[in-house]
Amino acid sequence: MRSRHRVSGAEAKLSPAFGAYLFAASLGASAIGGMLGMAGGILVVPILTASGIGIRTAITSSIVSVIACSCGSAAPFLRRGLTNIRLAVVLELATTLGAVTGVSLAGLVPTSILFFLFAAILLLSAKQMLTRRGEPAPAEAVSPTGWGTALRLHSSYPDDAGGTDKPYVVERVGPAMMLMYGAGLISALLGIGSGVLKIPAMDSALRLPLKVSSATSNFMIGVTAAASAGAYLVRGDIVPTIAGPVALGSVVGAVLGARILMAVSSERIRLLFVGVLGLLAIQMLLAAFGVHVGVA
Amino acid sequence: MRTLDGRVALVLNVGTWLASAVIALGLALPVGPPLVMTGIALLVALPILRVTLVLIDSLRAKDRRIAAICAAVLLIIAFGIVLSARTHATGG
Repeated sequence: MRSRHRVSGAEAKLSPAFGAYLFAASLGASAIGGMLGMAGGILVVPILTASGIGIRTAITSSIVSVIACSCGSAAPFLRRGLTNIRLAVVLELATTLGAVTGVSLAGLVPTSILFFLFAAILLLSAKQMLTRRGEPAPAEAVSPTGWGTALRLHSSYPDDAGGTDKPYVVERVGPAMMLMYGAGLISALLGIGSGVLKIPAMDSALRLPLKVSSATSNFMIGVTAAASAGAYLVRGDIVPTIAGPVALGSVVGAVLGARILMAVSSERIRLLFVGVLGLLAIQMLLAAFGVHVGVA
Repeated sequence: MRTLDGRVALVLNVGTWLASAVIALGLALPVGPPLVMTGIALLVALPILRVTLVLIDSLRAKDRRIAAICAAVLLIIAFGIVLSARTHATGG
């Protein structure tokens, strides 16, 4: 079986108007995602497939925009000392390995299964949106033999309330690595940041403070996506006329989304978002069974 | 001298805007797709450059374990690219 897909002539040559539409749609998806503190990739792929773009091209375009959003939004978190760079690099061992596995599988998985998997991830995200994420109980006992200690992953972060830094420990790195491998695989296979799978790993295994976990997860997504995008790039699976406007729209949207976040109440957006995720899941499920509902 | 966090933040920020500008230019100019592809390649290179920065920093600090982990991450990425290039070349 061939491991790469062919790009149709219609996909390679696009009108400027369709490019502008892709830019605007990605901007919207990324802005809404940014307002809720999640990557817009999960919205980009369904929007692209609904616009008549093949799911494999949608996935490789989305993965490029995932890198752009991760890199473009990393600086403020790094400057505030929320990103744990050492922990990120350790976990990236697992996510990049997962990404390489995902790319190898990508050509072998039938498109109907891709649609089906995507629908499942959308539903999982909707469920995660509904159940509010609480601050996990901090890990207590620091075993001197753990990876966290051996690799000096324990750190501290600035707490808003006080002026001093709060220390935290990093435990159970092993189980987290297993979950991260899965997250990397799904990220490469579906063209998403896979935050939906990273959050449980960060919360249940590592038990990091919420802010540290969000910042570190977002930081890692860039390297994970670069591992798969690099491989897709040399395979010739990335279509510049589609991936270009999508990446550009996503970067602008992420910047706007972070700004709007301050101004609008997030409770209504959250519910709206759950509804949107549900609708997209239905659309992807229908597509898995060969029924395509298009918007453009 | 800046801290590692500061340096990484600067590189990612400048890199994202540079790559975006190249993509935008490619979309606006008639030369088109090759320039857009260059911008996309720049985006892909950015996180790889970031791991390299951490690698250099940990080598300087004689932090051998983190340095080895950074090198392993870079090797995994390179392995994925080489693997894809080979399947692409053989067409199977």
